[in-house]
Amino acid sequence: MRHSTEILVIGGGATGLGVACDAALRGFKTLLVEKGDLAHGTSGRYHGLLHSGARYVVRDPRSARECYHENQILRKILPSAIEDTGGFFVALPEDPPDYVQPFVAGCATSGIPIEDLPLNIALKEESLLNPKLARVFRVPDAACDSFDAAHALMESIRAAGGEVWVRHKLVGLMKSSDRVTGAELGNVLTGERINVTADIVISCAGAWAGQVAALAGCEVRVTPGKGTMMAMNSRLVNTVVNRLKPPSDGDILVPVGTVAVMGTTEIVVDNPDQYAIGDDEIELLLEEGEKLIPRFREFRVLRAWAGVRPLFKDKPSPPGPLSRSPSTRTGEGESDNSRLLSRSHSILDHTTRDGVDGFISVVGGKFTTFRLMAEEALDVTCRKLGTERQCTTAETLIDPPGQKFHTLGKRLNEIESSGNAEVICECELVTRAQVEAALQRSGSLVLNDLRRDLRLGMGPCQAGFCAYRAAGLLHTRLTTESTETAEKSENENSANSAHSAVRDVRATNSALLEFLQERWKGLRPVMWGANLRQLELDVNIYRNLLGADRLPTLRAPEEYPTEKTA
Amino acid sequence: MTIQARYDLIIVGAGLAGLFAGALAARRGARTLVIARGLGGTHIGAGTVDVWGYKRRQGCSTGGPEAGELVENPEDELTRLEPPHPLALAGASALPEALAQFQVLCEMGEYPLMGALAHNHILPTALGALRPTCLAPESFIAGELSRAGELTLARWPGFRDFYADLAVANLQAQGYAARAVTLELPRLPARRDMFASDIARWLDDAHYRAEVAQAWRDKLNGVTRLGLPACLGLERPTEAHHDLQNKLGVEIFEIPILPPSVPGMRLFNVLRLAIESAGGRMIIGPGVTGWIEDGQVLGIIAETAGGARRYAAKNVIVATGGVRHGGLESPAKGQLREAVFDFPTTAPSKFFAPLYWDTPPYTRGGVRVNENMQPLTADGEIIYANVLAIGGLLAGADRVGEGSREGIDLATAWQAVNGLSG
Amino acid sequence: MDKNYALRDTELSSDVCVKCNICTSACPVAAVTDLFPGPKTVGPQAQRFRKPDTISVDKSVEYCSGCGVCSLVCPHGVQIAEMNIIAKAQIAKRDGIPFRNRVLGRSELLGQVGSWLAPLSNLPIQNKFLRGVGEALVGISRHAPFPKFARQSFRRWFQKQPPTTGVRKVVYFHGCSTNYYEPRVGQAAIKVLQLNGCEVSLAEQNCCGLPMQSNGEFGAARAKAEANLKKLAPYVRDGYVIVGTSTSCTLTFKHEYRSVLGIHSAEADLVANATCDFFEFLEMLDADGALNTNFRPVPQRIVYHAPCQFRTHAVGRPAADILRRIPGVILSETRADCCGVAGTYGLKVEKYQIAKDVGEKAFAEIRHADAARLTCDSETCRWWLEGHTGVRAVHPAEILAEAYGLTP
Repeated sequence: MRHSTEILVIGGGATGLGVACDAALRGFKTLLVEKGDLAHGTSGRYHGLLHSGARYVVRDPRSARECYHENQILRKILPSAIEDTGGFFVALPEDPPDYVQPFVAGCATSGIPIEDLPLNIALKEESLLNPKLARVFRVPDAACDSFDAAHALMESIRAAGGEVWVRHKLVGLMKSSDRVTGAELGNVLTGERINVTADIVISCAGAWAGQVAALAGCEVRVTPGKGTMMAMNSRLVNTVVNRLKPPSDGDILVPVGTVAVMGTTEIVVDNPDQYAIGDDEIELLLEEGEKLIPRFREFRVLRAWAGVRPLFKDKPSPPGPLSRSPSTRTGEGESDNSRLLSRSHSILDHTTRDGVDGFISVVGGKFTTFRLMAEEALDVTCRKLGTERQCTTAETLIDPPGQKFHTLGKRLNEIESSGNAEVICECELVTRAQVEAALQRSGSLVLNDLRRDLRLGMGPCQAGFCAYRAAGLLHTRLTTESTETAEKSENENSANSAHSAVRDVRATNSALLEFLQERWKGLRPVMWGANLRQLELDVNIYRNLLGADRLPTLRAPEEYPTEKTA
Repeated sequence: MTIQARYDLIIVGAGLAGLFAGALAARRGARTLVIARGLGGTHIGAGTVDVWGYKRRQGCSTGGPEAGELVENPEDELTRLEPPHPLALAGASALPEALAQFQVLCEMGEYPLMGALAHNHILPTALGALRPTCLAPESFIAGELSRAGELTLARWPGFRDFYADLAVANLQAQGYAARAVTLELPRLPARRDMFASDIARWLDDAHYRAEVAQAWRDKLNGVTRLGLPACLGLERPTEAHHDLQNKLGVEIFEIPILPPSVPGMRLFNVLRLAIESAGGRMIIGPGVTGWIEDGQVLGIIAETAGGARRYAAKNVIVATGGVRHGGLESPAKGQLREAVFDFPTTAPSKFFAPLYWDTPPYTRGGVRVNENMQPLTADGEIIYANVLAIGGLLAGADRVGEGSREGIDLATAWQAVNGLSG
Repeated sequence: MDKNYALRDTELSSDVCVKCNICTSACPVAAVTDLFPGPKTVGPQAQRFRKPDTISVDKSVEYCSGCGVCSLVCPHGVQIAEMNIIAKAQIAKRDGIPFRNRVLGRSELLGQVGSWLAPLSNLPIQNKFLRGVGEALVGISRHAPFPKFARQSFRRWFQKQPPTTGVRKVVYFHGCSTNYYEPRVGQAAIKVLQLNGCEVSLAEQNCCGLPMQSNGEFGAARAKAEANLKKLAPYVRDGYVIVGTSTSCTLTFKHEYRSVLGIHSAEADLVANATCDFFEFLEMLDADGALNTNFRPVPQRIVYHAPCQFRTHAVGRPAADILRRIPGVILSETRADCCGVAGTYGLKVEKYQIAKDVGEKAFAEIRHADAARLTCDSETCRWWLEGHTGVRAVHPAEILAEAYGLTP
């Protein structure tokens, strides 16, 4: 199949969605493709923090200013994905006191408003915090749900005339001598191949940027920096809590929806698709958590996961006048400490860098600055195409007008108002209507996609009840589709329909087992206490009561992802 | 700390093992207390007595009915068992005696369980898988899959805990004749979700059953065996089952669904009746630890609302189950601790398996006991002569992989009470 | 976090909920109405969506009666009923507390005024028309049984009694019901205690505060709590045991002050650990071999109903166990978990029918027991059960006093 567009964006994380949104708003014919589901990669695994920028004021003031600026913009244009939690920076008695003054001065210089809080007020607001804190500053941090943001961005892109194709992986880049002319895509669900021609291909592939660039014959070295996080089952704090000291592991606790996310670590890995979570990382997070909240270990750790930061360090540039594009920026400090590899972003124009036309890579960066990254990428794109179109994303609502910040009680309020009925995922209050609509919309057979879309299975029981219910609804959806297909087709013999019924139920059974295995991946590193009791209940349901492990499936057990695969 | 009361026997834990032990002891004339932090495994199980369901198998187990071969005759598997499996420790006569006694109590409670040790029923699950079990309520039996004939499963629109089409599709894929039929539950509220226990209480009421029959009668042409979610009455399940069968003119069988388990709750009621009518006492609510003085166990300490209270007892049976309700605690990853007396526990070095549906090795961990159900040290010494441990707390079994949970509960409870003197 | 009692933070006990639905299966209110989605749903499940100091978004938790059965059956120690009460207080903050609930919360004041005006004050209680007006104006169901005010309060009676001495020092907590409605219960209890070698004192005391707490007036409830603690703590330090015949008052001291009102002081612990229900105390004497068992026969069929609050005491049913030892008594016990009234819940016009439906099981068991009398340790349950079954209800202490030959 063939398709053509002006701008082809590779990657459906925050970066890609931001780029596609900016492109569509600037009037380009835009197509975004993503191999999995939206926010499948790093964006879907991050800490949930909308930085105020205060974290960077001492070591990377430019980054700090950017963060704060973008933080303010995102609050205006995408409030529905953002909870205005506010943040604290807290110093323990053992934290270096000489960090405080540069912190305060740095915030002032970067324009970030902070407030020196008396300890008793901080403890009144957050009663679980360590009563021995030395200093507390209030900062304008917020929490952001990347899945909500991704969906809102996708709606925006479509409303502006752009297209978003999920579950389309990049098979190859089409080239004509030294020019990238488009891409060959594969539909993951059907296997169909599609050739898309484009004026410019913009790679926003994050930790996979190197792999994409290689398809064009360009070298882009992105180091996958794994960061492990764990979700505490209870929302121990309602304010983001950061340690007031030079950034390091385990120094932020973020309330995100119904949980509190403790993170993170930083370990360079070889492969962005393969990494495990170490017991030592979990132990580190527990230890650091105890410093913020003395009773930390009493509370249930719900789940652990890791994402890979796309750490970019540019290769040494060739000598000559075209060695550096004006918009390329590199990080400050070139030490081996991967934490000092900048979290700044870079827009790589491969024409100047590698002699390959029609191709741009957006690398590095962090969630908070995705809109800015997109703006710069589109500015470079316009220059390459010889056209002048202004960026309007800073003033254009992504949300429909009148949306307010997300609140914790939103879903409870909706359920209580509409009646507590047909709730499929009780932990996260997801209704049958929502599940059916999502199944219809996505056409996906992967229950994990429902999870990302709706938060199904993300609560304390980790799909103990809702995986079964969702499988039931999935099966109904599949058989309805099959019946519709069979009715449309002329060849309506009963052998075909029986065969398709068996295939359908195998697909449902596989979807269920895959989902349970996916949940297990994140539970195993934190299996003790109440979480272990939960596992026993869930295993009792799926193996003892339902016999889910003894049903016909589509694939062999070895093919299910285990904890070593992403 | 004062002594609140004195008993001959205190049983800690109100799951199947603890309740059965309580009933046996009270009926033998012991002044018996069953005390537990909360309700137990009855309320989350299938409501059947599983003795031995699956042939042992290695490694991964999905792929279809050929994996995890079902056992037809549990007795065959049992003869090959060796210690430390609890059934082997309890001795060859414990299980048959226990099952017989249990069936007597169920009869007393007007809720007979059918079956025999030499034969497993094969019954459908709510997903359409095959589930072997030794004793099942009468209301399950018409679902027996080794019988010829088509099964019809009921769709209950608006009830989120049962998906008939999925179960039917799986049964068909495994070669069984099955179909689904839509049967509306009268008066299902729009306002909130119903749980199995709610519907079970409605079906206890003869007037409601008459409404149900009226609504369903015309939809059952050609139906011989009708499968419903296991909600067919809570207080008077036998009456409800017979009545609805009569009114509809079809055989009806129940299929266990997500917790709360109504069939399990019925077993709880049967045993509670047995305990209380024999003069036994039950206290549900407080956490319990052992009362030990100078190396002697004098009873237990209960965390009542007003603080700790001692209950004196000549003998104590710990029936607190494994990890699931806190009989074994796991305070940190890779640790197991017995919660009442801090008995030594066996635990493997590796607790978990990579795949969700492989039995995690830690489940074989637990408290080691001798043939009298007395907990032992690592060196095999009896710890306290007057304290016994039974049920899910014991080491040496894979209850899920074997399909052996309730058999172990009943056999070890019987063996423990049988061994107590006075 | 396996020992939930160590946590002392009721709302965070939702952390250990595994969503098993055991609590839902036991809830007597969810069993009879679709207005209440069940304790798990409005308790630990909704709790994860609540933020402190923000406007409550809850509605359906209003229908929780606070009977406490859910917390008892939870195998993990989630304090479900307690967190529901706290959530209801949040709603009260949002919506204000209706006049009716303030009235129902003020049992001490009601008692003082009513007792002072007795027997005139008893007329409106029995008069159908006035009860109908009451329902229309204030929202107290005209069908809800109410007791009669006593002319002489219990305290007044006690103050006229000669002092006695004894081996054990007991301070008696009468509570509003004994003082203003049923002094005979207190009279029976005092005599039984004295017969069993107790020196019984009467401390200065006020309402335990439970009705205010149940109706969301936490501030007022805390004030009552602090006042009681101040009055009773010195007795405890002097070696007294606090004994009460109202299971709700004694439970409030043992449990609610800390787990619901969040009072964590040395006095709160002291008083909690020194408080006993009347029969709980007698059972302890019996365990020591010190209970006087010279009973006269009381040949009668009696049915005992254990109040739901008494289950939360978690000390079994000592009243039933002791009454069974009286010769001639044929005692049966109800199995119903809750009679329905749950303190002031069943008195409210919008909740009355639900409470009555909850109670049907208990009513049926009592009628079926074919007993001459019904006995129950909680006053509100007694009045409600007698009103709905017609069987005369007494406190078990009264039966015991008869068995000792202590009643005139």
